[in-house]
Amino acid sequence: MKKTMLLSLVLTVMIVVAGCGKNSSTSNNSPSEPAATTSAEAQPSSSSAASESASSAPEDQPAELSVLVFESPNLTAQFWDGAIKRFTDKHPNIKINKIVSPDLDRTKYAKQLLASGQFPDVLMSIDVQDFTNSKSLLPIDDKYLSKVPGAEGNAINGKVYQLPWGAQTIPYIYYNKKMFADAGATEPKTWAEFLDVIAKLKKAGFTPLLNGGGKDTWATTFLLDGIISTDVFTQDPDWVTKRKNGEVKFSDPLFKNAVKKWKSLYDSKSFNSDGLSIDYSLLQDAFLKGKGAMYPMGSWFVAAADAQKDIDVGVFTVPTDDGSIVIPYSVGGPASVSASTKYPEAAQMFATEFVTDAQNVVEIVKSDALIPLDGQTVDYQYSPLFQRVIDLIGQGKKVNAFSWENGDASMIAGMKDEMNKTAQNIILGKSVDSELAALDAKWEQTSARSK
Amino acid sequence: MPNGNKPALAVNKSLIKGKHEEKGSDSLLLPSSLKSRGVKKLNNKTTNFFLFVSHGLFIYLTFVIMPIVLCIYYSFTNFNPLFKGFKVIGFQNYADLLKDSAFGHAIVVTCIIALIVTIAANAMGLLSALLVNYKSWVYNASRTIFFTPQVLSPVVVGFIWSIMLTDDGVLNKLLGYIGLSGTSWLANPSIVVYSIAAVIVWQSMGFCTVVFLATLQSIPSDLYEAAKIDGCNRRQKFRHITYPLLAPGITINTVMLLISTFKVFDHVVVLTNGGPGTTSETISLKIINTAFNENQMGYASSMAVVLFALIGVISIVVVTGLKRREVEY
Repeated sequence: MKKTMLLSLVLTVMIVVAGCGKNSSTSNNSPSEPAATTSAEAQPSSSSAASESASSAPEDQPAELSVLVFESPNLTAQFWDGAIKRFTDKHPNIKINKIVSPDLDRTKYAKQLLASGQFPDVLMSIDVQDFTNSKSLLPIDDKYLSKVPGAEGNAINGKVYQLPWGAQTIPYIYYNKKMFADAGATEPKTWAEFLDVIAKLKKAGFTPLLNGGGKDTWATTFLLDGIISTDVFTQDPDWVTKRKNGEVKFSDPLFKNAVKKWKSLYDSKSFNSDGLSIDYSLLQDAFLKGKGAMYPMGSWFVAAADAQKDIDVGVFTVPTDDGSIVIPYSVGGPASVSASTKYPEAAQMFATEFVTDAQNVVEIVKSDALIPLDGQTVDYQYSPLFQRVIDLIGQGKKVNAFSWENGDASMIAGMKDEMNKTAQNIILGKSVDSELAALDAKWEQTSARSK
Repeated sequence: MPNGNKPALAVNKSLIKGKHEEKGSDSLLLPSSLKSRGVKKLNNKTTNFFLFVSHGLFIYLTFVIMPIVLCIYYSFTNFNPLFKGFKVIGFQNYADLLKDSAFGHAIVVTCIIALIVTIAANAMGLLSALLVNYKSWVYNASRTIFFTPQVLSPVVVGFIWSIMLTDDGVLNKLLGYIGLSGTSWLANPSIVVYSIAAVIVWQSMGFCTVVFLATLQSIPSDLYEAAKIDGCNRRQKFRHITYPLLAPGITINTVMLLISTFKVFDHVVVLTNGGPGTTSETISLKIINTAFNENQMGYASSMAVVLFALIGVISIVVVTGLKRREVEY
């Protein structure tokens, strides 16, 4: 009896030990068990390995890909499932295992998967700059890049690690047309006109500007991002690259003046007083319920604005000192491919077909108000607000959207969060000078530790 | 007890020797029957060890001890989760921690939350346990109500309270009805830490209530009867009987609350994400942000080791102190 029990115990221990090992062949779709869905034993490969495979492997060779996705109110489980099904219907030899990020921060989850040897084959909408230094991502082959309009726009050192499927403007300033009419205000172009509009709105009893915070610290800085984009990037388009090289600093006058310009709006009590306690969803709700007249936000807000009938929404660009139109523009895309994938051809094919699939693009344009890239044709009936957002792009000068940069122009890992915290500290009354000096120190420290 | 074994061993040896002498042998070797019995006993012990201890020990070593050892090891390296290799850098991470004012701030915030939660949840748990320590369906229902927050996920609790604590939230509206002006509970830097502590107290109170109820119900009723005969009033009964005999419950609650609040993460992330600015950043949140936003896993490991040591030292001190006032009866 005891021998039998001992034997059972030994078998159990063996199973546990085997279970702790890496697995490359199972196909469990559960997001909580990513280990079973990834190709952890994939041989390390580089772009050259991918090229070799490209020349030898036929396109529909059997393959099993793990794909990291994230679910949001706009990009639901049905959206991802539908997109995957369309691909697998077309390529029955390729099996796709969906891995769902436990929250919207898919970059953080991707890092956990990488650290534990479970990096997925294809990853959707991660911050690629976090993974390029470690060569964790595969540069996409030219034969795939040629199929994706605007793909080269996000190149890092000449190589593309993420295929785009549209653009966003971050931010524009959306406004409540009725409040503007009641206050006798019109769309401002210059900063002086903007201050005049704020004064009129205050006089009429409205809260001029809305911002957020709470758990979504990034909801605090939309207008700041816009001012830095218009004031700093127009004068120095390579500012972030120069910051990486140590040629400029946050505490330099150019950057500091932009921050002070934004801070002056807090000093004059132009924002809602509860900004730091409401998260992103409450912030959007506040604007749509008429609790504030102006709402600096990314172009994805158009989808929410079009979906409601409570307020009439207009839009203008962040006002500049001289009245010129500047567009903080961010080309974004979902699909990146792991450098360690066992199936580089299938993974790149999936990534390419995902971002060029007409139905996928229409869905993302509809649900997230993604702006089509030059050369991209989308069969979609734009609303007047959406059309205005697109038209403004043609009227102004495009610059990178600060804090939302991609490719070579992106900041080092962790600095977006630091920028958001810095902005909140400034709102709480800390000195701009000391906070920007602290931000410089943090940059140096983080940069040194990343080497 | 090494000395206690000696006589028994001597007796055994003499017995063994005697038996062998009978057979005309001066060998001290064990007779085959005893030998096989001893080996069997040893085999039984080994078998029992494998049957009842090894699998638990294996799981404990793999999932508790090994991660701790690895974390301590990583704390001496520049481990970055995005890169395969890393270097051992000695005590550099710990030296940097000493200069890191943000980490110092996180320790202070965590200690404030831990102190408030431990004291307030214990006090309110005791009060509610005393309130419902009677036999009736009303009290049974009340126990369920008090315990309900405990079974909710911290994320759900945080989400509900994050809505209730906004400027336009339920709390400020209620305060408005009684003529009081509210505040920005989650945006005011001088209040936000206390708001987070209050939410954790609200959720932890149920656990304290249950522990105190169990302790209250284990106090022998004859002690109260004797006190009644001696003419004690309610206050005196509580002071001289209930409170001293509640000591084990207080020890359990205090240690459990201290450990859980020193690790607090979920509530803070959902309520403020460490904000506004870095006002409410706790040690756990700082560790996660450092490890996964800034990719400094080695540095974050050194923070985790400090947190581990902090919890260990505080737990030992608190348990030692509280055990002293526990009464045997």
